[in-house]
Amino acid sequence: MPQFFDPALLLRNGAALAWGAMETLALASAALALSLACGLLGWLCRASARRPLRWVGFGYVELFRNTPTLVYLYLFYFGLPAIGLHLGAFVYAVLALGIQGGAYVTEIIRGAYAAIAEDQRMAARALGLRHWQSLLLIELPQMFSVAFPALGNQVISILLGTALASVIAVPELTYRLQIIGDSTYQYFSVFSMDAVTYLILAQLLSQAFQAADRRWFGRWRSRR
Amino acid sequence: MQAVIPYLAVLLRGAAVTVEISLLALAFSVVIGTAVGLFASSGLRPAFALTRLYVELIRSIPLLVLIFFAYYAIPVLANVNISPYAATTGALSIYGGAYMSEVVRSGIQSVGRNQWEAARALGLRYARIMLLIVFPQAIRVMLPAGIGVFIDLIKGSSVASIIGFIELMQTAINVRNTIFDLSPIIVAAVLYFCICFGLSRVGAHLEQSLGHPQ
Repeated sequence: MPQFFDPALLLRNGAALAWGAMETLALASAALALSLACGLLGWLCRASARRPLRWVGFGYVELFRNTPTLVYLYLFYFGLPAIGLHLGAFVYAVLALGIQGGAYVTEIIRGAYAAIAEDQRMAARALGLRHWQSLLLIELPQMFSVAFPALGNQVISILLGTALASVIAVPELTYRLQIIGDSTYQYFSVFSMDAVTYLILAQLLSQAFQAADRRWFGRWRSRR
Repeated sequence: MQAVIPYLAVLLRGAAVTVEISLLALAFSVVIGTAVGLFASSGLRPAFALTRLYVELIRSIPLLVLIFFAYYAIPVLANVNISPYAATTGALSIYGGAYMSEVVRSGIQSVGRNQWEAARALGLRYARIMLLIVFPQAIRVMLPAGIGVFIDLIKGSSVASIIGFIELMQTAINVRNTIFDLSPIIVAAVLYFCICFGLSRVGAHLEQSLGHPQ
């Protein structure tokens, strides 16, 4: 008989929960790394002087921002093995979440670049820095500080997105809890536990980002 | 690729269901968002804290878990049957309501204090100031952002496929399982893109034409 809340059930399955949470974090970290790489690449395309590259960048951002994550999870899960790429569900989930996240990161970087005053670039040029030197030494560090809060939100959005990987049987938190629920019918217990775990992880990350932001960039932010 | 052609009508019907449930959830989101947004900008501290709790809670839990909660947990708890349709509508509305309340709150905030002071000096009460002075100005900010929430709801409704609600995503998977070809999923992607990209263009156009208040 299902109970309102059954702590014993969750204690019995503590190991499964811990492994699930680890898998969730691993998936989120891998997807985040890929999304940062894709985002940087996407932005380089969007900001390129070549028109075809700009169109590729624009198409990438709009395509992935206007379609649901599940579409890509299924596309990779069904499509990649069909062309001989058997990489496992974890990798398909990383690809789907990372490539889609990259579209959002592209826009975050673009926004940060636009926020850097033109005189910074001109000053760098006047000091004799080359285009790439000014980008690397002058603009990127400032862009990082501008983009930091938005990147924090992106990290949380990727963390929450990992729950979708349960549909292709990546053994992350939601998948494992769903299995426990299916065998015990204690759905309220397992999904409250699930929700609370995401809540804690998301709040920890959010607080960490805010603390890091104050510590690293607080001086510059308060001056404005 | 041509294997999908006999199924195009089915996929289009799936897209219609997706739009339908997203519109329904949007309507509820607007109601919840307006109530919570007004509550949040009322200036009462406990009210503000309560609305923050709601928004932060929803923003820290995956939509999938909200849908699971509505579909699996609540029926066990309350001993009622909840259809996938009702569970999806409920979960999407609570999810969209949180984002919509932020839209409403920032819309109200975008109207300067001096508007309130001037209206009060003219002897207007809260309800009339809100309705006649603040709302017509806030709508310029709220409308484009609200379309963003609608796009999120359309994309989010695809998650309902996981509890077996037959909208566009689930239709595409069913067709794939019949013809063993990726094409239905690609068609679904194209349909989602057309709907969401179209809406985002409308949003961008509204943002341009309504202009930024001050």
